Amino acid sequence: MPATLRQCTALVGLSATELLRQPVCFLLTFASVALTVLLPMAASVQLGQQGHLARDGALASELVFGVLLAGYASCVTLHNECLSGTILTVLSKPVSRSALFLAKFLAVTTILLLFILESTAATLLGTRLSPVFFELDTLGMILVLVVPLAAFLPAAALNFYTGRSFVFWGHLFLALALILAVVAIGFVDREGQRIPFGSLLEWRLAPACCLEGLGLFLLAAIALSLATRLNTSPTVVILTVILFAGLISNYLISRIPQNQALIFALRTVLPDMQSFWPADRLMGDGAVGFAFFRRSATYAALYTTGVLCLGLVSFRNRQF
Amino acid sequence: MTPATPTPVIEAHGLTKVFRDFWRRPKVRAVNGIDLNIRSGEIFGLLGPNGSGKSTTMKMILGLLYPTQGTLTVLGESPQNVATKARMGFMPEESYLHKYLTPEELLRFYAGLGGLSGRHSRARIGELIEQLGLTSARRRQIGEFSKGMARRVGLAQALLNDPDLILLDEPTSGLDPVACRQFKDLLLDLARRGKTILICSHHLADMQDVCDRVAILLDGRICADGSVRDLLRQPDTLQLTLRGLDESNLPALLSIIERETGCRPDVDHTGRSLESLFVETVTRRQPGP
Repeated sequence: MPATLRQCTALVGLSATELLRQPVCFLLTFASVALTVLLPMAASVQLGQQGHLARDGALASELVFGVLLAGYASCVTLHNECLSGTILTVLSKPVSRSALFLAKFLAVTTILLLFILESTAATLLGTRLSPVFFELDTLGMILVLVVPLAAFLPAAALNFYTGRSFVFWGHLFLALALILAVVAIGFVDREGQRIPFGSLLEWRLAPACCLEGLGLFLLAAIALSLATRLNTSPTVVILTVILFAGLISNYLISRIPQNQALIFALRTVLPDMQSFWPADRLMGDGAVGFAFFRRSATYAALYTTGVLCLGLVSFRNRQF
Repeated sequence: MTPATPTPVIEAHGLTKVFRDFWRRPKVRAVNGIDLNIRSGEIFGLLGPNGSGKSTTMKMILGLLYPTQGTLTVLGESPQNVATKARMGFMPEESYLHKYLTPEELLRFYAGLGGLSGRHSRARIGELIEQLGLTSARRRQIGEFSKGMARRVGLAQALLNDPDLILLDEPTSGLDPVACRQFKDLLLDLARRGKTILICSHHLADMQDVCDRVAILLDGRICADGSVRDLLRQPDTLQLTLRGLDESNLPALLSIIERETGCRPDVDHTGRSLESLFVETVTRRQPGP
């Protein structure tokens, strides 16, 4: 393996491991999953459409907790390491600042990927559990309540007997348990009768969750660039403002009088977060089409690259 | 034929660092036009009170801070040259380590950054873990370590790539006297193997024990520098050490010295250092391996 690739692998691996061992990252992920899965059980309204609340709640939960996770993880992995001095030791090795910065971004995206995977599984479970004509899916509920036990008991045992990190293994086992729960529930209907796999699951939500994931990657790039100079609180606040401004950017821009330069500037600076919000496209039997997904992915890739370039300039000029 | 002058490993001329505020106005002149010439194979100490510019100088040598003025070369290259860092090892003042990792994981990570290959890195990690007394703690998270243990891990990562230039910021702080002595022996051994070592420390006794040359920094300027021996020598005072002298002969001896030289000598028993007494006592009481 070439030396640079080995360095990058080591940096991404370590930063991702550190983030996976962060209790706050774990709690944010677990809170999002729990909310996604439990909200449909408590729901007593349908908002005019079967599973509407479960679906929109799950997507909103993924976006909000994802933003918090992206902001927090970026600051922990970059700004806190600058403050604590850990980064001094890394930069005293033959590692370029560019490689370190990009590795940090890849580490944050790794955590987000795991989060998106868990959120997608939780969303599929949650929508399946949502009440049909106010009747709950009892079998599914039992299965969902078993998930945290199945994830945390082996993690606790590992911690007790071998001293391995509970948070790290709990995080990984939670992802595994959620996937197994989706597989298990995919084979049975509400009465426990065997059905063809996945026929009662809303598979169209999977690309919708991934679309939101693209938006989270974009926001993670912004968060990491901010984290070259700012600590957690201002970064998360700015990120939240960018998220909401991005969600209403089309409306905001339409209110501006015809000033082409200003409109162009706002369209360039403000991310168009509507490209990553799939709820409107899921109304009725709608789905996130491939063409829309591809357009959003291209937009996310270009915007993320631009933001990372700015972040890199900021990080290269930073003195420790 | 005169012996060749050792190659300078660190060379600085008029090195200056000014920290600026948000409006780019000069705030602090942390280092003020210092000249340094650290030669291959020597142990060089940078001394000074807090805020004298020691750590700033070290960070400029590591390329973590950019000098405002002056020139600086490290191993013949600019400190910003990434490839040069493969020949350097740095142990920071605090043990800035990843607290969720075990020593083994951490060293494997730094071996990856240093470009050490799999088998070579495993052998080197095992060797350092044993040499620095980390064997029993190799699978515990660093966050649970005492300061002294964390310092050992910090030193292990600095020595991982067998560097030519080793930079140590307050290396003995937090170490108990036995570990401190082992540490100093290790430094002397490294210097014998031709490694160049730059140490910043407040522990003057430790510096005196290991350094060949020192520079004293105050307000960003070098106030005194030279070999430890030269700086500490009092030219008008000579010390005469006699081993196995029968004390009954002392009055006669003193009167001869006084008569012949006109100087009245001070007489006292040579004392040992508290450190050597402590190390000997503890080592004697500890059970063998």
